[in-house]
Amino acid sequence: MSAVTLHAAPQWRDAVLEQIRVTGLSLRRDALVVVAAVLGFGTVMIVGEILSGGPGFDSDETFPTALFSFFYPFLVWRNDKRFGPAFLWTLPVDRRRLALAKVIAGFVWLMAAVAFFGTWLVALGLLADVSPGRALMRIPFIATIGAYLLGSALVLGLRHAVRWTFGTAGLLFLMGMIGDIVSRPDDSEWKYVPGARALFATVQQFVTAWLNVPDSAQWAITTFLWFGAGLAALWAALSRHGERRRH
Amino acid sequence: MLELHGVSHIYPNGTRALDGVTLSIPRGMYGLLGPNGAGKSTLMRTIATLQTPTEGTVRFGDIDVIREPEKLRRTLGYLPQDFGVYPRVSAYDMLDHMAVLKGVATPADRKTTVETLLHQTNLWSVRKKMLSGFSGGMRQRFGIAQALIGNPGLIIVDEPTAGLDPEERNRFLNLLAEIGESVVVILSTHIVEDVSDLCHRMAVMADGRVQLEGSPQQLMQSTRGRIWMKVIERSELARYREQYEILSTRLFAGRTVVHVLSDRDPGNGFTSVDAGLQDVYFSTLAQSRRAA
Repeated sequence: MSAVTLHAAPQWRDAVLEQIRVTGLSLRRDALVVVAAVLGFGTVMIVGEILSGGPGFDSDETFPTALFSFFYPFLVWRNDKRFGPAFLWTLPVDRRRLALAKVIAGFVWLMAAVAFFGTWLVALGLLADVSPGRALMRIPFIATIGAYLLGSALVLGLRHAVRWTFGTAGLLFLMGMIGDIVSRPDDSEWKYVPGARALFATVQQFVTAWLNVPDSAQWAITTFLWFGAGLAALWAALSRHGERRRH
Repeated sequence: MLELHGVSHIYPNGTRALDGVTLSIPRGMYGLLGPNGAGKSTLMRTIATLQTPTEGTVRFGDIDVIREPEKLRRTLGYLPQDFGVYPRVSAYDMLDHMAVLKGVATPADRKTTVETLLHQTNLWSVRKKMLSGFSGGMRQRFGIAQALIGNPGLIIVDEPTAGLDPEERNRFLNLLAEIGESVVVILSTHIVEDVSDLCHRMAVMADGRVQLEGSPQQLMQSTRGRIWMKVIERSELARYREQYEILSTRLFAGRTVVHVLSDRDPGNGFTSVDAGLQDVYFSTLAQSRRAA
Protein backbone atom coordinates (compact mmCIF):
# COMPACT_ATOMS: atom_id res chain seq x y z
CA MET A 1 0.00 0.00 0.00
CA SER A 2 1.54 3.30 -1.08
CA ALA A 3 2.02 6.14 1.38
CA VAL A 4 0.23 9.32 0.38
CA THR A 5 2.05 12.64 0.52
CA LEU A 6 0.13 15.05 2.72
CA HIS A 7 0.43 18.81 2.72
CA ALA A 8 0.57 20.69 6.01
CA ALA A 9 -2.60 21.41 7.97
CA PRO A 10 -3.11 25.09 8.79
CA GLN A 11 -2.28 26.48 12.21
CA TRP A 12 -5.30 27.50 14.30
CA ARG A 13 -3.95 31.04 14.57
CA ASP A 14 -3.65 31.31 10.78
CA ALA A 15 -7.20 30.05 10.34
CA VAL A 16 -8.56 32.67 12.76
CA LEU A 17 -6.62 35.52 11.14
CA GLU A 18 -7.75 34.37 7.72
CA GLN A 19 -11.38 34.21 8.80
CA ILE A 20 -11.10 37.75 10.13
CA ARG A 21 -9.70 38.90 6.80
CA VAL A 22 -12.20 37.16 4.54
CA THR A 23 -15.20 37.98 6.77
CA GLY A 24 -14.17 41.63 6.61
CA LEU A 25 -13.89 41.43 2.82
CA SER A 26 -17.29 39.79 2.41
CA LEU A 27 -18.97 42.34 4.72
CA ARG A 28 -17.41 45.44 3.15
CA ARG A 29 -20.37 46.51 1.08
CA ASP A 30 -22.97 45.84 3.78
CA ALA A 31 -20.83 47.68 6.31
CA LEU A 32 -20.72 50.76 4.10
CA VAL A 33 -24.51 50.77 3.73
CA VAL A 34 -25.08 50.30 7.47
CA VAL A 35 -22.50 52.93 8.42
CA ALA A 36 -23.97 55.46 6.00
CA ALA A 37 -27.51 54.78 7.22
CA VAL A 38 -26.72 54.83 10.94
CA LEU A 39 -24.46 57.83 10.82
CA GLY A 40 -26.75 59.79 8.56
CA PHE A 41 -29.93 58.99 10.45
CA GLY A 42 -28.30 59.28 13.88
CA THR A 43 -26.60 62.58 13.10
CA VAL A 44 -29.81 64.11 11.83
CA MET A 45 -31.72 62.86 14.91
CA ILE A 46 -29.22 63.97 17.52
CA VAL A 47 -28.26 67.27 15.94
CA GLY A 48 -31.95 67.97 15.36
CA GLU A 49 -32.69 67.28 19.02
CA ILE A 50 -29.87 69.50 20.17
CA LEU A 51 -30.87 72.36 17.87
CA SER A 52 -34.51 72.22 18.94
CA GLY A 53 -33.52 72.34 22.58
CA GLY A 54 -34.63 68.75 23.20
CA PRO A 55 -32.92 66.26 25.52
CA GLY A 56 -30.24 65.39 22.92
CA PHE A 57 -27.39 63.76 24.68
CA ASP A 58 -28.93 64.26 28.08
CA SER A 59 -31.44 61.59 27.17
CA ASP A 60 -30.91 58.22 28.84
CA GLU A 61 -32.07 56.35 25.75
CA THR A 62 -29.63 53.68 24.56
CA PHE A 63 -28.98 52.77 20.94
CA PRO A 64 -30.33 49.41 19.77
CA THR A 65 -26.86 47.96 19.23
CA ALA A 66 -27.84 44.77 21.06
CA LEU A 67 -30.68 44.18 18.59
CA PHE A 68 -28.33 44.79 15.68
CA SER A 69 -25.67 42.46 17.07
CA PHE A 70 -28.28 39.72 17.56
CA PHE A 71 -29.08 39.75 13.83
CA TYR A 72 -25.53 40.50 12.67
CA PRO A 73 -24.44 36.79 12.75
CA PHE A 74 -27.09 36.11 10.11
CA LEU A 75 -25.16 38.48 7.88
CA VAL A 76 -21.80 36.95 8.76
CA TRP A 77 -22.98 33.40 7.92
CA ARG A 78 -25.31 34.19 5.04
CA ASN A 79 -23.05 32.74 2.33
CA ASP A 80 -22.02 29.64 4.21
CA LYS A 81 -23.83 26.37 4.02
CA ARG A 82 -23.87 25.70 7.75
CA PHE A 83 -25.33 22.21 7.76
CA GLY A 84 -25.08 19.11 5.64
CA PRO A 85 -22.22 18.42 3.26
CA ALA A 86 -20.80 21.94 3.12
CA PHE A 87 -17.89 22.47 0.79
CA LEU A 88 -15.73 24.24 3.40
CA TRP A 89 -15.81 21.13 5.58
CA THR A 90 -13.54 19.34 3.09
CA LEU A 91 -10.66 21.60 4.11
CA PRO A 92 -8.09 20.29 6.55
CA VAL A 93 -9.36 22.37 9.47
CA ASP A 94 -11.51 20.90 12.23
CA ARG A 95 -15.16 21.82 11.56
CA ARG A 96 -15.86 23.12 15.05
CA ARG A 97 -12.68 25.16 15.10
CA LEU A 98 -13.40 26.65 11.70
CA ALA A 99 -16.90 27.62 12.82
CA LEU A 100 -15.51 29.09 16.05
CA ALA A 101 -12.89 31.00 14.04
CA LYS A 102 -15.68 32.58 12.05
CA VAL A 103 -17.59 33.53 15.21
CA ILE A 104 -14.40 35.18 16.48
CA ALA A 105 -13.95 36.93 13.13
CA GLY A 106 -17.49 38.27 13.28
CA PHE A 107 -16.89 39.42 16.85
CA VAL A 108 -13.73 41.29 15.90
CA TRP A 109 -15.59 43.21 13.18
CA LEU A 110 -18.52 43.85 15.49
CA MET A 111 -16.19 45.34 18.07
CA ALA A 112 -14.55 47.43 15.35
CA ALA A 113 -18.00 48.72 14.37
CA VAL A 114 -18.90 49.44 18.00
CA ALA A 115 -15.60 51.26 18.48
CA PHE A 116 -16.29 53.35 15.38
CA PHE A 117 -19.83 54.05 16.56
CA GLY A 118 -18.53 54.99 20.02
CA THR A 119 -16.00 57.38 18.51
CA TRP A 120 -18.74 59.02 16.48
CA LEU A 121 -20.90 59.35 19.60
CA VAL A 122 -18.04 60.89 21.56
CA ALA A 123 -17.42 63.37 18.74
CA LEU A 124 -21.09 64.34 18.68
CA GLY A 125 -21.10 64.50 22.47
CA LEU A 126 -18.20 66.93 22.42
CA LEU A 127 -20.12 69.10 19.96
CA ALA A 128 -23.12 69.04 22.29
CA ASP A 129 -20.95 69.70 25.33
CA VAL A 130 -21.61 66.29 26.89
CA SER A 131 -18.88 64.26 28.59
CA PRO A 132 -17.48 61.32 26.55
CA GLY A 133 -18.40 58.93 29.36
CA ARG A 134 -22.04 59.97 29.23
CA ALA A 135 -22.09 59.65 25.44
CA LEU A 136 -20.65 56.14 25.61
CA MET A 137 -23.19 55.15 28.26
CA ARG A 138 -25.71 55.05 25.45
CA ILE A 139 -24.11 51.89 24.03
CA PRO A 140 -25.11 48.78 26.04
CA PHE A 141 -21.78 46.95 25.62
CA ILE A 142 -22.56 43.85 27.66
CA ALA A 143 -25.93 43.30 26.02
CA THR A 144 -24.36 43.87 22.61
CA ILE A 145 -21.73 41.18 23.15
CA GLY A 146 -24.23 38.82 24.77
CA ALA A 147 -26.71 39.28 21.94
CA TYR A 148 -23.95 38.55 19.41
CA LEU A 149 -23.10 35.30 21.19
CA LEU A 150 -26.76 34.29 21.33
CA GLY A 151 -27.34 35.24 17.69
CA SER A 152 -24.27 33.25 16.63
CA ALA A 153 -25.46 30.27 18.66
CA LEU A 154 -28.83 30.47 16.96
CA VAL A 155 -27.33 30.61 13.48
CA LEU A 156 -24.91 27.76 14.15
CA GLY A 157 -27.24 25.62 16.21
CA LEU A 158 -30.43 25.73 14.19
CA ARG A 159 -30.85 24.66 10.61
CA HIS A 160 -33.68 27.16 10.07
CA ALA A 161 -32.59 29.96 12.36
CA VAL A 162 -34.55 32.69 10.56
CA ARG A 163 -37.79 30.71 10.77
CA TRP A 164 -37.24 29.99 14.46
CA THR A 165 -36.45 33.61 15.27
CA PHE A 166 -39.37 35.13 13.44
CA GLY A 167 -41.65 32.25 14.40
CA THR A 168 -40.92 32.80 18.09
CA ALA A 169 -41.28 36.56 17.76
CA GLY A 170 -44.55 36.09 15.90
CA LEU A 171 -45.86 33.68 18.53
CA LEU A 172 -45.07 36.10 21.35
CA PHE A 173 -46.73 38.92 19.44
CA LEU A 174 -49.79 36.76 18.83
CA MET A 175 -50.00 35.77 22.50
CA GLY A 176 -49.84 39.42 23.49
CA MET A 177 -52.58 40.29 21.02
CA ILE A 178 -54.80 37.45 22.22
CA GLY A 179 -54.22 38.51 25.81
CA ASP A 180 -55.17 42.03 24.88
CA ILE A 181 -58.35 40.93 23.15
CA VAL A 182 -59.39 38.60 25.97
CA SER A 183 -58.81 41.21 28.67
CA ARG A 184 -60.56 44.02 26.79
CA PRO A 185 -63.85 43.81 28.72
CA ASP A 186 -62.09 44.80 31.96
CA ASP A 187 -58.94 46.55 30.88
CA SER A 188 -56.78 46.77 27.77
CA GLU A 189 -53.68 45.56 29.59
CA TRP A 190 -52.75 41.90 29.26
CA LYS A 191 -51.77 41.62 32.92
CA TYR A 192 -55.46 41.27 33.82
CA VAL A 193 -55.87 38.10 31.80
CA PRO A 194 -56.75 35.36 34.33
CA GLY A 195 -53.71 33.17 34.85
CA ALA A 196 -51.29 35.81 33.62
CA ARG A 197 -51.83 37.81 36.80
CA ALA A 198 -49.57 35.53 38.85
CA LEU A 199 -46.89 35.63 36.16
CA PHE A 200 -47.06 39.40 36.01
CA ALA A 201 -46.78 39.64 39.81
CA THR A 202 -43.68 37.43 39.78
CA VAL A 203 -42.07 39.49 37.03
CA GLN A 204 -42.91 42.67 38.92
CA GLN A 205 -41.32 41.29 42.10
CA PHE A 206 -38.22 40.29 40.14
CA VAL A 207 -37.91 43.71 38.53
CA THR A 208 -38.34 45.45 41.89
CA ALA A 209 -35.66 43.22 43.46
CA TRP A 210 -33.41 43.84 40.46
CA LEU A 211 -33.77 47.60 40.67
CA ASN A 212 -32.77 47.46 44.34
CA VAL A 213 -29.55 45.57 43.69
CA PRO A 214 -26.45 47.79 44.05
CA ASP A 215 -25.09 49.03 40.69
CA SER A 216 -21.83 47.08 40.75
CA ALA A 217 -23.54 43.85 41.77
CA GLN A 218 -26.20 44.39 39.11
CA TRP A 219 -23.52 44.91 36.50
CA ALA A 220 -21.68 41.76 37.57
CA ILE A 221 -24.86 39.66 37.55
CA THR A 222 -25.92 41.06 34.17
CA THR A 223 -22.51 40.40 32.67
CA PHE A 224 -22.42 36.88 34.08
CA LEU A 225 -25.92 36.09 32.82
CA TRP A 226 -25.42 37.50 29.32
CA PHE A 227 -21.99 35.99 28.78
CA GLY A 228 -22.80 32.72 30.52
CA ALA A 229 -25.98 32.20 28.54
CA GLY A 230 -24.30 33.28 25.29
CA LEU A 231 -21.23 31.09 25.72
CA ALA A 232 -23.27 28.08 26.84
CA ALA A 233 -25.57 28.43 23.83
CA LEU A 234 -22.58 28.86 21.52
CA TRP A 235 -20.88 25.77 22.94
CA ALA A 236 -24.05 23.74 22.43
CA ALA A 237 -24.40 25.07 18.86
CA LEU A 238 -20.77 24.32 17.98
CA SER A 239 -21.09 20.79 19.28
CA ARG A 240 -23.56 20.14 16.45
CA HIS A 241 -20.70 20.64 14.02
CA GLY A 242 -18.43 17.94 15.37
CA GLU A 243 -16.89 15.39 13.02
CA ARG A 244 -19.05 12.29 12.66
CA ARG A 245 -17.05 9.16 12.10
CA ARG A 246 -17.64 5.45 12.26
CA HIS A 247 -15.12 3.31 14.10
CA MET B 1 -5.13 4.16 -5.76
CA LEU B 2 -8.55 4.73 -4.26
CA GLU B 3 -10.35 1.61 -3.12
CA LEU B 4 -13.95 1.31 -2.07
CA HIS B 5 -15.30 -1.90 -0.67
CA GLY B 6 -18.97 -2.65 0.02
CA VAL B 7 -19.89 1.00 0.52
CA SER B 8 -23.58 1.46 1.34
CA HIS B 9 -25.45 4.48 2.54
CA ILE B 10 -28.99 4.68 3.83
CA TYR B 11 -30.44 8.12 4.52
CA PRO B 12 -32.58 8.68 7.65
CA ASN B 13 -35.74 8.58 5.50
CA GLY B 14 -34.86 5.02 4.45
CA THR B 15 -33.56 5.79 0.95
CA ARG B 16 -30.71 3.47 0.05
CA ALA B 17 -28.51 5.84 -1.95
CA LEU B 18 -25.54 3.48 -2.20
CA ASP B 19 -25.77 -0.28 -2.25
CA GLY B 20 -22.54 -2.20 -1.80
CA VAL B 21 -20.34 -0.13 -4.08
CA THR B 22 -16.95 -1.74 -4.70
CA LEU B 23 -14.47 0.04 -6.95
CA SER B 24 -10.73 0.31 -7.50
CA ILE B 25 -9.84 3.65 -9.00
CA PRO B 26 -6.32 4.00 -10.38
CA ARG B 27 -4.33 7.13 -11.15
CA GLY B 28 -5.68 9.16 -14.08
CA MET B 29 -9.12 10.35 -15.08
CA TYR B 30 -11.94 8.10 -13.91
CA GLY B 31 -15.50 8.71 -15.09
CA LEU B 32 -18.51 7.99 -12.98
CA LEU B 33 -21.56 8.03 -15.17
CA GLY B 34 -25.17 7.74 -14.15
CA PRO B 35 -28.57 9.40 -14.37
CA ASN B 36 -29.79 11.85 -11.76
CA GLY B 37 -30.51 9.99 -8.53
CA ALA B 38 -28.10 7.15 -9.33
CA GLY B 39 -26.07 7.79 -6.18
CA LYS B 40 -23.09 9.53 -7.79
CA SER B 41 -23.19 12.63 -5.64
CA THR B 42 -23.66 10.58 -2.47
CA LEU B 43 -20.62 8.55 -3.45
CA MET B 44 -18.62 11.71 -4.21
CA ARG B 45 -19.56 13.23 -0.85
CA THR B 46 -18.63 10.00 0.89
CA ILE B 47 -15.19 9.93 -0.71
CA ALA B 48 -14.80 13.66 -0.02
CA THR B 49 -15.35 12.96 3.72
CA LEU B 50 -18.57 14.97 3.81
CA GLN B 51 -20.66 12.04 4.95
CA THR B 52 -19.98 8.75 6.63
CA PRO B 53 -21.37 5.69 4.87
CA THR B 54 -23.61 3.32 6.76
CA GLU B 55 -21.22 0.49 5.95
CA GLY B 56 -18.14 -0.32 3.89
CA THR B 57 -14.57 0.90 3.68
CA VAL B 58 -12.84 3.59 1.66
CA ARG B 59 -9.06 3.68 1.41
CA PHE B 60 -6.79 6.07 -0.41
CA GLY B 61 -3.25 4.68 -0.37
CA ASP B 62 -2.51 4.13 3.29
CA ILE B 63 -5.35 6.39 4.51
CA ASP B 64 -8.52 4.89 5.96
CA VAL B 65 -10.90 7.62 4.78
CA ILE B 66 -13.73 6.71 7.16
CA ARG B 67 -11.55 6.71 10.25
CA GLU B 68 -9.11 9.45 9.32
CA PRO B 69 -11.09 11.99 7.28
CA GLU B 70 -8.85 14.85 8.42
CA LYS B 71 -5.88 13.03 6.90
CA LEU B 72 -7.53 12.64 3.51
CA ARG B 73 -8.44 16.33 3.50
CA ARG B 74 -4.73 17.09 3.42
CA THR B 75 -4.49 15.55 -0.03
CA LEU B 76 -7.97 16.21 -1.37
CA GLY B 77 -9.17 18.65 -4.00
CA TYR B 78 -12.94 18.83 -4.25
CA LEU B 79 -15.14 20.69 -6.70
CA PRO B 80 -18.75 20.18 -5.65
CA GLN B 81 -21.83 20.79 -7.79
CA ASP B 82 -22.76 23.79 -5.73
CA PHE B 83 -19.69 25.92 -5.12
CA GLY B 84 -20.98 29.16 -3.67
CA VAL B 85 -18.94 30.75 -0.91
CA TYR B 86 -18.30 34.45 -0.44
CA PRO B 87 -19.62 35.83 -3.74
CA ARG B 88 -18.45 39.34 -2.85
CA VAL B 89 -14.80 38.41 -2.60
CA SER B 90 -12.42 38.63 -5.56
CA ALA B 91 -11.01 35.50 -7.18
CA TYR B 92 -7.51 36.34 -5.95
CA ASP B 93 -8.58 36.95 -2.37
CA MET B 94 -10.71 33.83 -2.31
CA LEU B 95 -7.91 31.62 -3.64
CA ASP B 96 -5.56 33.15 -1.10
CA HIS B 97 -8.11 32.36 1.62
CA MET B 98 -8.42 28.75 0.50
CA ALA B 99 -4.63 28.46 0.36
CA VAL B 100 -4.33 29.52 4.01
CA LEU B 101 -7.01 27.04 5.03
CA LYS B 102 -5.18 24.33 3.11
CA GLY B 103 -2.02 24.98 5.07
CA VAL B 104 0.02 27.07 2.61
CA ALA B 105 1.35 29.19 5.44
CA THR B 106 3.93 31.63 4.13
CA PRO B 107 2.77 34.64 2.12
CA ALA B 108 5.48 34.05 -0.51
CA ASP B 109 4.35 30.44 -1.09
CA ARG B 110 0.76 31.54 -1.24
CA LYS B 111 1.51 34.25 -3.77
CA THR B 112 3.29 31.76 -6.02
CA THR B 113 0.52 29.17 -5.64
CA VAL B 114 -2.33 31.60 -6.27
CA GLU B 115 -0.69 33.30 -9.23
CA THR B 116 0.29 29.99 -10.86
CA LEU B 117 -3.23 28.64 -10.51
CA LEU B 118 -4.85 31.80 -11.83
CA HIS B 119 -2.62 31.61 -14.91
CA GLN B 120 -3.19 27.87 -15.30
CA THR B 121 -6.96 28.27 -15.25
CA ASN B 122 -6.84 31.34 -17.47
CA LEU B 123 -8.37 33.58 -14.80
CA TRP B 124 -5.48 35.97 -14.33
CA SER B 125 -7.17 38.81 -16.20
CA VAL B 126 -10.25 38.59 -13.95
CA ARG B 127 -8.42 37.98 -10.67
CA LYS B 128 -9.79 41.18 -9.11
CA LYS B 129 -13.36 40.52 -10.18
CA MET B 130 -15.85 39.36 -7.55
CA LEU B 131 -16.92 35.74 -7.81
CA SER B 132 -20.56 36.80 -8.07
CA GLY B 133 -19.74 38.38 -11.43
CA PHE B 134 -18.22 35.19 -12.88
CA SER B 135 -19.90 33.24 -15.67
CA GLY B 136 -20.65 29.53 -15.13
CA GLY B 137 -17.48 28.47 -16.93
CA MET B 138 -15.27 30.94 -15.06
CA ARG B 139 -16.74 29.74 -11.79
CA GLN B 140 -15.97 26.13 -12.67
CA ARG B 141 -12.40 27.03 -13.64
CA PHE B 142 -12.08 28.86 -10.36
CA GLY B 143 -13.43 25.75 -8.67
CA ILE B 144 -10.69 23.68 -10.27
CA ALA B 145 -8.08 26.26 -9.26
CA GLN B 146 -9.09 26.01 -5.60
CA ALA B 147 -9.21 22.21 -5.85
CA LEU B 148 -5.60 22.18 -7.06
CA ILE B 149 -4.21 24.12 -4.11
CA GLY B 150 -1.66 22.06 -2.19
CA ASN B 151 -1.01 19.57 -5.04
CA PRO B 152 -3.72 17.09 -4.06
CA GLY B 153 -3.35 13.39 -4.79
CA LEU B 154 -7.10 12.91 -5.12
CA ILE B 155 -9.36 15.30 -7.03
CA ILE B 156 -13.13 14.93 -7.11
CA VAL B 157 -15.23 16.90 -9.58
CA ASP B 158 -18.98 16.55 -9.33
CA GLU B 159 -21.04 17.38 -12.44
CA PRO B 160 -18.58 20.09 -13.53
CA THR B 161 -19.84 20.79 -17.04
CA ALA B 162 -23.57 21.00 -16.33
CA GLY B 163 -24.86 24.30 -17.69
CA LEU B 164 -21.67 25.29 -19.54
CA ASP B 165 -21.77 26.43 -23.16
CA PRO B 166 -19.77 24.26 -25.64
CA GLU B 167 -16.75 26.58 -25.68
CA GLU B 168 -16.51 26.80 -21.90
CA ARG B 169 -17.07 23.06 -21.62
CA ASN B 170 -14.24 22.41 -24.04
CA ARG B 171 -11.91 24.72 -22.17
CA PHE B 172 -12.82 23.13 -18.87
CA LEU B 173 -12.30 19.58 -20.16
CA ASN B 174 -8.88 20.52 -21.56
CA LEU B 175 -7.95 21.84 -18.15
CA LEU B 176 -9.08 18.64 -16.48
CA ALA B 177 -7.15 16.55 -19.01
CA GLU B 178 -3.96 18.48 -18.18
CA ILE B 179 -4.15 17.73 -14.48
CA GLY B 180 -5.44 14.19 -14.77
CA GLU B 181 -2.12 12.59 -15.67
CA SER B 182 -0.42 12.19 -12.34
CA VAL B 183 -3.18 12.06 -9.74
CA VAL B 184 -6.50 10.29 -9.18
CA VAL B 185 -9.29 12.41 -10.69
CA ILE B 186 -12.88 11.26 -10.31
CA LEU B 187 -15.27 12.93 -12.72
CA SER B 188 -18.89 12.41 -11.82
CA THR B 189 -21.31 13.33 -14.56
CA HIS B 190 -24.43 12.37 -16.47
CA ILE B 191 -22.95 13.68 -19.72
CA VAL B 192 -21.57 10.73 -21.67
CA GLU B 193 -19.31 12.85 -23.90
CA ASP B 194 -17.41 14.17 -20.87
CA VAL B 195 -16.39 10.63 -19.99
CA SER B 196 -15.67 9.47 -23.53
CA ASP B 197 -13.51 12.56 -24.16
CA LEU B 198 -11.42 12.32 -21.03
CA CYS B 199 -11.46 9.10 -19.05
CA HIS B 200 -9.24 6.05 -19.25
CA ARG B 201 -11.60 4.09 -17.04
CA MET B 202 -15.21 4.50 -16.06
CA ALA B 203 -18.15 3.05 -14.16
CA VAL B 204 -21.87 3.33 -14.78
CA MET B 205 -24.02 3.74 -11.69
CA ALA B 206 -27.76 3.29 -11.34
CA ASP B 207 -29.96 2.69 -8.30
CA GLY B 208 -27.00 3.14 -5.97
CA ARG B 209 -25.06 0.26 -7.53
CA VAL B 210 -22.16 -0.01 -9.94
CA GLN B 211 -23.73 -1.60 -13.01
CA LEU B 212 -20.68 -1.64 -15.26
CA GLU B 213 -16.98 -0.93 -14.92
CA GLY B 214 -14.02 -0.87 -17.30
CA SER B 215 -12.29 1.21 -19.95
CA PRO B 216 -14.57 2.99 -22.45
CA GLN B 217 -13.00 0.97 -25.32
CA GLN B 218 -13.59 -2.36 -23.52
CA LEU B 219 -17.16 -1.44 -22.74
CA MET B 220 -17.88 -0.35 -26.28
CA GLN B 221 -16.31 -3.60 -27.50
CA SER B 222 -18.69 -5.58 -25.31
CA THR B 223 -21.72 -4.24 -27.17
CA ARG B 224 -20.17 -4.56 -30.63
CA GLY B 225 -22.62 -6.13 -33.10
CA ARG B 226 -25.61 -5.64 -30.78
CA ILE B 227 -26.53 -2.08 -31.67
CA TRP B 228 -28.82 -1.48 -34.67
CA MET B 229 -29.92 1.75 -36.21
CA LYS B 230 -32.79 2.93 -38.39
CA VAL B 231 -34.15 6.29 -39.53
CA ILE B 232 -37.93 6.42 -39.12
CA GLU B 233 -40.75 8.93 -39.21
CA ARG B 234 -41.63 10.47 -35.90
CA SER B 235 -45.16 9.12 -36.08
CA GLU B 236 -43.78 5.56 -36.21
CA LEU B 237 -41.88 5.85 -32.97
CA ALA B 238 -44.64 4.56 -30.67
CA ARG B 239 -45.02 1.42 -32.77
CA TYR B 240 -41.27 0.80 -32.78
CA ARG B 241 -41.14 1.20 -29.02
CA GLU B 242 -43.63 -1.64 -28.69
CA GLN B 243 -41.71 -3.92 -31.04
CA TYR B 244 -38.07 -3.24 -30.13
CA GLU B 245 -35.89 -2.41 -27.17
CA ILE B 246 -35.08 1.15 -28.11
CA LEU B 247 -31.95 2.51 -26.43
CA SER B 248 -32.01 6.06 -27.71
CA THR B 249 -33.64 8.34 -30.20
CA ARG B 250 -32.43 11.55 -31.72
CA LEU B 251 -33.57 13.86 -34.47
CA PHE B 252 -31.59 14.25 -37.68
CA ALA B 253 -32.85 16.48 -40.50
CA GLY B 254 -36.35 16.35 -39.11
CA ARG B 255 -36.49 12.53 -38.96
CA THR B 256 -35.96 10.24 -36.01
CA VAL B 257 -32.89 8.05 -35.70
CA VAL B 258 -33.47 5.11 -33.38
CA HIS B 259 -30.88 2.81 -31.84
CA VAL B 260 -32.02 -0.59 -30.63
CA LEU B 261 -30.27 -3.32 -28.68
CA SER B 262 -30.54 -6.80 -30.12
CA ASP B 263 -28.30 -9.91 -30.19
CA ARG B 264 -29.61 -10.75 -33.66
CA ASP B 265 -30.40 -8.67 -36.74
CA PRO B 266 -33.85 -7.27 -36.01
CA GLY B 267 -34.55 -7.04 -39.78
CA ASN B 268 -37.07 -4.48 -40.96
CA GLY B 269 -34.36 -2.28 -42.47
CA PHE B 270 -32.18 -1.93 -39.37
CA THR B 271 -28.42 -1.69 -40.00
CA SER B 272 -25.62 -2.57 -37.62
CA VAL B 273 -23.63 0.38 -36.24
CA ASP B 274 -20.52 0.68 -34.10
CA ALA B 275 -21.55 1.11 -30.51
CA GLY B 276 -20.72 4.46 -28.95
CA LEU B 277 -20.35 5.03 -25.25
CA GLN B 278 -23.84 6.48 -25.25
CA ASP B 279 -25.21 3.14 -26.49
CA VAL B 280 -23.30 1.33 -23.76
CA TYR B 281 -24.66 3.72 -21.18
CA PHE B 282 -28.26 3.46 -22.33
CA SER B 283 -28.12 -0.32 -22.66
CA THR B 284 -26.77 -0.55 -19.11
CA LEU B 285 -29.58 1.64 -17.81
CA ALA B 286 -32.11 -0.45 -19.72
CA GLN B 287 -30.75 -3.65 -18.18
CA SER B 288 -30.80 -2.03 -14.76
CA ARG B 289 -34.44 -1.04 -15.21
CA ARG B 290 -35.36 -4.55 -16.34
CA ALA B 291 -33.63 -6.05 -13.32
CA ALA B 292 -35.38 -3.68 -10.89
